[in-house]
Amino acid sequence: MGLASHGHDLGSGGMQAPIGGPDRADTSWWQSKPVRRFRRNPLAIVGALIVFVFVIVATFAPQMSELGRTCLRDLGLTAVTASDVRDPTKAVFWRSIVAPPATCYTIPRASFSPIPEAPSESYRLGTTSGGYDIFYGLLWGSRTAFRIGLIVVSVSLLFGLLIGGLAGYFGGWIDDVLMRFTDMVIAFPSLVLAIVIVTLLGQTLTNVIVAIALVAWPNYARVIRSEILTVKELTYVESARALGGRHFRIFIQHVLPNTIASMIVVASLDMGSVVLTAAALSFLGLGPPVGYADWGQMVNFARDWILGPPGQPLAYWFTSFYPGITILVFVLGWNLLGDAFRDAFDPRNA
Amino acid sequence: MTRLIWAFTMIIIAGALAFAFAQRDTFVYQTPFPVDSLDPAQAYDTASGVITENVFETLYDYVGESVTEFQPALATSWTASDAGDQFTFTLREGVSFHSGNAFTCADVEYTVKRMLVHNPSDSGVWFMAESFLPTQANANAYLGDDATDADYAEYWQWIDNAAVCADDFTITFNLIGPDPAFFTKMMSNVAAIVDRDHAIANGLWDGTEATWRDWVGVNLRDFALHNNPSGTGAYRLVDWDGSTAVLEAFDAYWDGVPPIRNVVYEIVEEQSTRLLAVQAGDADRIAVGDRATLAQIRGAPGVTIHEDPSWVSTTVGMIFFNHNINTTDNPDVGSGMLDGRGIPANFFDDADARKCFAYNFDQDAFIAQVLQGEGAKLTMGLPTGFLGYDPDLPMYNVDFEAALVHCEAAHGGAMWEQGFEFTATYNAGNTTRQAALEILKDNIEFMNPAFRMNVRALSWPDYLAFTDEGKGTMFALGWAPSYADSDYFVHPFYHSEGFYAGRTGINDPVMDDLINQARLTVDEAEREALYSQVGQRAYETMPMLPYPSPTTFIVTRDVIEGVYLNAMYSGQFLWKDISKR
Amino acid sequence: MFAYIVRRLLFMPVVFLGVTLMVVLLLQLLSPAQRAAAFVRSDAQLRNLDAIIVQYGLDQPFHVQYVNWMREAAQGNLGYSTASSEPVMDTIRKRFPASAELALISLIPVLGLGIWLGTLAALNRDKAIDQFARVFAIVGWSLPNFVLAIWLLVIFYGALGEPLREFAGGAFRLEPGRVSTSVNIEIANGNFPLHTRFMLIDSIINGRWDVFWDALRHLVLPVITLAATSSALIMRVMRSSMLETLSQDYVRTARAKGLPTATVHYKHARRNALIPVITLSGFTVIFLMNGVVITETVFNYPGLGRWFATAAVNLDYPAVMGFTLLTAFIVVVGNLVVDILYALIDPRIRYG
Repeated sequence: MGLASHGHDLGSGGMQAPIGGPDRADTSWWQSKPVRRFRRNPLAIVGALIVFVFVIVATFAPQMSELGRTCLRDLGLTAVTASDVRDPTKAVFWRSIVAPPATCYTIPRASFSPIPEAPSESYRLGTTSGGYDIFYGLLWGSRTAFRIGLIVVSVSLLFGLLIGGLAGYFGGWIDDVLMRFTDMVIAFPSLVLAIVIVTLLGQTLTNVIVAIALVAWPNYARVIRSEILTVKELTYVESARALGGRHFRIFIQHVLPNTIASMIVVASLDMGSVVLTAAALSFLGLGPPVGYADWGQMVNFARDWILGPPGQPLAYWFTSFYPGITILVFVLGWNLLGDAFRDAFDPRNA
Repeated sequence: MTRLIWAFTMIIIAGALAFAFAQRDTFVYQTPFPVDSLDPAQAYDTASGVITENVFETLYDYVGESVTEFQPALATSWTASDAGDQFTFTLREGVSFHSGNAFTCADVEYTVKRMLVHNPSDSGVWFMAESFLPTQANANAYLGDDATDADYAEYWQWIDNAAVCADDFTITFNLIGPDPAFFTKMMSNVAAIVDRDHAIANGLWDGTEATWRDWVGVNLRDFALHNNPSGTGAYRLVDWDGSTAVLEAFDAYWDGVPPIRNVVYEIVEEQSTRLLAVQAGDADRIAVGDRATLAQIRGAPGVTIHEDPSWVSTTVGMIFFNHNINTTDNPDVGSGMLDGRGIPANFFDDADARKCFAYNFDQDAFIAQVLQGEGAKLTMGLPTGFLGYDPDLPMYNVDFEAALVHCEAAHGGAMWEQGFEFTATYNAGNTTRQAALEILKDNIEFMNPAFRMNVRALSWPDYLAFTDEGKGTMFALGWAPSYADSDYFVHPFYHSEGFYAGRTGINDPVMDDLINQARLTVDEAEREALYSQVGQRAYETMPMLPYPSPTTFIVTRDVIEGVYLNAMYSGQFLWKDISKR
Repeated sequence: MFAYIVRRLLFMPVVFLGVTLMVVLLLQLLSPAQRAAAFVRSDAQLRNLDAIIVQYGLDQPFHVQYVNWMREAAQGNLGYSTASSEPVMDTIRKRFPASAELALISLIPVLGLGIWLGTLAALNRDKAIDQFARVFAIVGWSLPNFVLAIWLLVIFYGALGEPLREFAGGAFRLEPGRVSTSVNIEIANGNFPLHTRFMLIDSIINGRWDVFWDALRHLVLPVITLAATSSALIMRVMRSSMLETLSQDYVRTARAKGLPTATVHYKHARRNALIPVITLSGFTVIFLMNGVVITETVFNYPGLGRWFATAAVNLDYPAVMGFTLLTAFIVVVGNLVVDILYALIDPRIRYG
């Protein structure tokens, strides 16, 4: 939990600004050093592959799953026309991918029985406690995971850009105040803070996202600040400034490009850790409502069913195994990718 | 160095082997429910009751599994006046408290007076207060901010008059009016007899008129009886650290020392951990969330599941319809109009609309799936076996034809034409209530594609606040008995001044009249008939929909003997009655 | 150095004020009725919601509540926790040692495994052991600790429970909780006095090796859970730090002078490579605080994390405030200690 959110900037011993340099224009992007290093790293390929598979699964979740009745209704379909969702020539195909109705995120229930049912023809990974279809929950849960990850990462990126940017650019007491505040937030156990925020704001998916974003931004702020401090020293920035360049333009033209590499590393590692924190919140019962497609909640469902009937202790293995392994692989994919990015951008570590 | 490590290891292993396992004279009860307080005038939750019913005693007690037969406990006999407003008890002699103090009438008098003086708003004293006082509230809440000394003096007179000692072992209770439920109320946990001298010595109210006003409505969790109780019960508290409670048999117990020496009440939140513990023999009894979970331990060696078809839960689950929904800033009513995208404030004020829903609730599916086949359908909002519960009354069950009639008639046909959309609520984590609402949703949406019913969970705090503001449209709650009287259910559910009325906007003068009559009737047969009429009226008007009650069970180690179930005990049996082989 | 420490100490009250103000401000999002929920445990108590709000002063304006809270807090009274049914201070006093014991014991495998594997990986760069260590780190880092905790419970307490009970008289059983029930009874009866409330230390003081072993058995699974996820981080940092040190001039010089490789690696290089790890161990305490919330809940360990998780769900805000304050305290003090250690180890660093 939150391990990754602190790990990267410490782990690399300070990120260097690598992209750019005079020779970039000569070689193609594919042949650039970072990309070559990335391609040569087998773990990087595994990571990229995992993330790619999850992107596909999340995108085509409506096509790969058996949609529930309310979801079909809100898509304007009936049981007869349900197959339209798999027909790319129909508008509903695209609608279900781009903007599925909220009800589609509710996992259909095979029954109301609390006892899990083993994998079968119609429920490929079985049903978890409460008759919820595990397969459906995992498919649509990947959308939830991406949603949480992407929103949190972009919000904290913006936040970090703002705070780190202000601190780095102006320096002095502004820097002092902002960085002390950042230290305070970064020093706080992220799960603890997220728990406090979610309980006080109320338990909805939006609030989970807000809570995690509120604890995830300091990393970005720190990285951006240190990039700015480095760039500030560079001669061409000084000369640009001497030429009377506007602050904002200098920031856009010189600072931002230099931070991109670091940002990619931090963001890809964060995708994993953010989803882990969200899953932990759900596991503690502080996530989205019951029945919402969400991996942490799937593990929570399994919590009371880790023990099988006497003599078959592992009879309900599928309830905790599939959601657990899904979370693990997803986070692993992003961590491998982030790690590979770092190695690619920072030659000292390779 | 290596030799040193070896020596160290040997010491540890020697220690480990000398270690004693689960002890023969110890009963370990693992549950997820934390205890609130051990002061009877403060505690109002089941978990606290499990401890207090064994530490303290009441004047009379239940016989075995019966909730209608009583036996003497701290009293030996009793009489009631013909009007039913005065009760006299003869008390048992030679009883001593855990502190060593002797039990006398002064303790009973103090117990009653202190609860009326304190009457904390979150306690169960209210139902005792309504027998003795013209109010359920404590003096400050009842008299208000601009009360005079004279007002307080009058309130004190009621308290002072409530319990009067004729001699050391005879006490008379003077009620404000006839109360047929009074005797059973005196057997509730709230009326457990506390040790007067122990309480005063530990800084609680001294029992005099001079100081009583300082003690009105105080939070008793801040005072000594909260975690340092002294009762006459078979077990005395050794230690309670806020979670685990350890108790020991009371050697001077008047009815003989109980067989089990130590009792440990342990909070274990994780259900799987508890299930494993009872199989491992680390727990002698565990709390299990629902019947379905029994699949994980049924047949496990060393584990006994005690069950009986007659053990129908006395907790009544109810799907409430709000007859007067607060639609201001209410996300659950959609447009707030009957236009197919919302519901108006009076949506459930229409009896046909309510019956349309009632005929869509599949009671059998609920019992089969949620309760795993072991449960009882209720004809009215009263536990089976309570006075006046009439099993022969008709009830609503899934019936699409009957439903269609009412659905089409509701709101003059507008409901069927326009359709509706609203959101029903339950408290997060309560899967039974969730399932009840979702079963209803599945069927009602099947009737008409324009019918849309959403179900959402609110956290307990949000749920409280939301329904308190009258915003709940349709919501599920349960009600468990504090004393074995039908009024404890019928009044809160169906009366327009009952506890739920503020959340449901119920207002039926005919029903109110029946309930009021039953409250003042001392004659049992007459009361029974009246409650049966309440049930009939509830069927005709369908103000709210009771869903089936589960059949309860108790899970223990097989070495535990003497287990029984009395619905009025929080722990379902008293520890003094069981033994360990 | 001294002036620096004083300045850091003066900074502490500011942090506390900030943290509490933040929590109180967030609390204002709740209506009094929601805050009253902490006192309402059963449906039967619903009836008196309004009276409960008045009784506990939940409808007072926020500055009044905050000033009241501050005044009480200044006297060491953090209010009453409905989640633990006792004053917040009592709960912290009882449960802090439990959590601290768990976290400190976890630090041993976390640091030990992390440093050992990290060093080994760096010295065998790009060899099989390095690849293994890196994969271990990244998998451990990706592992959801609540899933790991549950699986461990299933395997060791569930599936292997029976054989472990049979083997050696059950001396190697791995169970949830902190000590066995019989020890709990002894504690309640006063037969096992708690001097420090650190179970391992108390059992040594009382000369009770059986209790020592008992407490140790109960620590195994939670410690594995915490170690698996946190040692990965230490290992990564140790590895890259060691690699960097090995490429430094003085290491090369030492090697060139013909000193034995082991001496160079373990005496010279490793000592310097440890510096970032020490900084990180401060953070490790924070990760452990996160992990403790989960592991204590799953393994039924009576520490602060479990209490906090329950309190938060029930909106027991005195407990939430108290725990947040305590966390802030630990974090500030922890960082201070790390900074001082850092300055002591690395003579290049001086604070003005």
